[in-house]
Amino acid sequence: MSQDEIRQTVRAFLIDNIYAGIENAELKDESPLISTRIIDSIVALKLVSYLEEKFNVEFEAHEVDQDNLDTINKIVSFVQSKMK
Amino acid sequence: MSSRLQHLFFDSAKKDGSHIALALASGEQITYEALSELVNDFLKYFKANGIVKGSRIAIMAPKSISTVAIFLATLECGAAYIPIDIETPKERLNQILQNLDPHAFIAYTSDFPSEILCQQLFLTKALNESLSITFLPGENHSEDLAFILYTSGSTGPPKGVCITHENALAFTDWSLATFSISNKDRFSSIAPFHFDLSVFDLYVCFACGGTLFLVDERTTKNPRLLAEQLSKQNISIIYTTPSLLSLLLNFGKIEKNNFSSLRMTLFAGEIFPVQHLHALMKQWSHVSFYNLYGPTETNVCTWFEIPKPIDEQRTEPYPIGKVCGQLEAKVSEEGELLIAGPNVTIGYWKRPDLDLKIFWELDGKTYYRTGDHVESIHKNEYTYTGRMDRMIKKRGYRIEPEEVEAVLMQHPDVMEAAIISDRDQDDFTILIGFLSLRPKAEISVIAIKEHCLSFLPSYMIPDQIYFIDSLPKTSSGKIDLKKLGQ
Repeated sequence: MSQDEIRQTVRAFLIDNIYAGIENAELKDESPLISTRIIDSIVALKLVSYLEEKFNVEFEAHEVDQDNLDTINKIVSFVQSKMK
Repeated sequence: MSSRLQHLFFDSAKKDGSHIALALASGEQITYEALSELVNDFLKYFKANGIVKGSRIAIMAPKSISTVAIFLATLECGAAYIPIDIETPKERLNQILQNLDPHAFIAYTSDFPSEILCQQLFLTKALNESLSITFLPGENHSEDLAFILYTSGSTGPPKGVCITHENALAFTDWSLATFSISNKDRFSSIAPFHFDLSVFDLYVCFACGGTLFLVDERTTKNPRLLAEQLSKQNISIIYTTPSLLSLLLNFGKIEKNNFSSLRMTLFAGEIFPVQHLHALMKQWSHVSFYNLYGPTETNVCTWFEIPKPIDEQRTEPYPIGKVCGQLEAKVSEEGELLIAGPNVTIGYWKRPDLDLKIFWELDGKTYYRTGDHVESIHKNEYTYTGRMDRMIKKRGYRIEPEEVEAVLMQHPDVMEAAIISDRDQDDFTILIGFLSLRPKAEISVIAIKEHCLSFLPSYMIPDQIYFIDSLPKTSSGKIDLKKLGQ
């Protein structure tokens, strides 16, 4: 699974699950999502469950944290590190 | 029977000072005796700085041993404490402090509003070093207040619900008489201190000499970690919102943790969707579940034990149940639940305009108008059927949509704004904002959320935002909220 594929999956999930009428371009890879409340913490939890199933990885309890999930870049590199 | 809330703690400290009063996930913990000493340190410091009966101490700090000690020391001074959400945006904090006129404000140095100039960076040696305090010339009040809890206000700024010692003790006495609780119990403080559920966590725990596990704010947003901590800490009593329990159930992997110490789960603040409640009861089949009901202004006023075995056919939410013994309930002709008795607040802090709306004098008694529509199922036993006004309950928090709309309307590009609530596919309440923009205005959803975030706490930020050309109107020209909901 390439980084780009993970990124596409994350973006598609976020756009499907949160944004009503938001443009893809608005969602920057490096913009903070949870700390700025652009996405709700529940959406972040749903994303974790989705990524675990999709990529067959498991997040430890302490890893399901804003620090690992706050930007698309962080999410992508975290999932990637789990897959190695 | 104690007549001061803090005596619940000091009496238990005298009985068994070596028992653990507070514990944290970090492993930090403190006995009743050591906590008493810490409270005394703060007490001396506060008194030396002019805190007396009728003073008010506002505190915007994370949950910690020091925070709890400050609450108790404030009460021992005869003063009232005001816990403020640590995520409160600056604008909102200013509104609260302006309304409150406190004698002291405690927070992280970086969280101090620029208006509060005289800042002392030093506290007693007991206090967490990162916090600062400022003493201010507030005007003393004459009521016997224990604390003030700020909640969403429909006409703009947040309103402070004044809780007296008598109010709080009426609630703790009822709790102690209703539930069999002992010093062997390990309580969990999941709700933030500015939320009225914390009154149970702190004072019912202290009254029976139990141990209170302080869950930090970050963990409450990570159900997997929360489940792990509650299990490791051998928590026996949980009191929280249906939303948080649903999160534990759906995202907490509770089946991987051992909850054999848990014996009682109390929930309040909103309707518990039956399918989630039943699923949780199956996971925790050894636990008793209770639905507690009551606004901040009265604390719990009705309660209902969820019957076992589970009624699988049931789809409608469980009743709010029977009225607590020390209270009296009436239902108005319109179906509104009215509550009188020792729990009922004396009113909002410096908002006589609101006090006029919430109290009704009937048969020589003062009734609080809950704003909740109920139906009577048996004598003195009720089922909740909806709100009389537009108030929304999200994760147990009260949200007056008018307050969110007022913030949206402050944005220069916004012409009209309306907020409604809906439920997502998992039955969680979400806020939906509908906006029409001024001609030629171009603004993104993200920019709107960022605007809201500088005025409102995070639970009040609309989850979804739709831009439409103009909002539908009723024949009288008002925004047609029913139509928006379709």
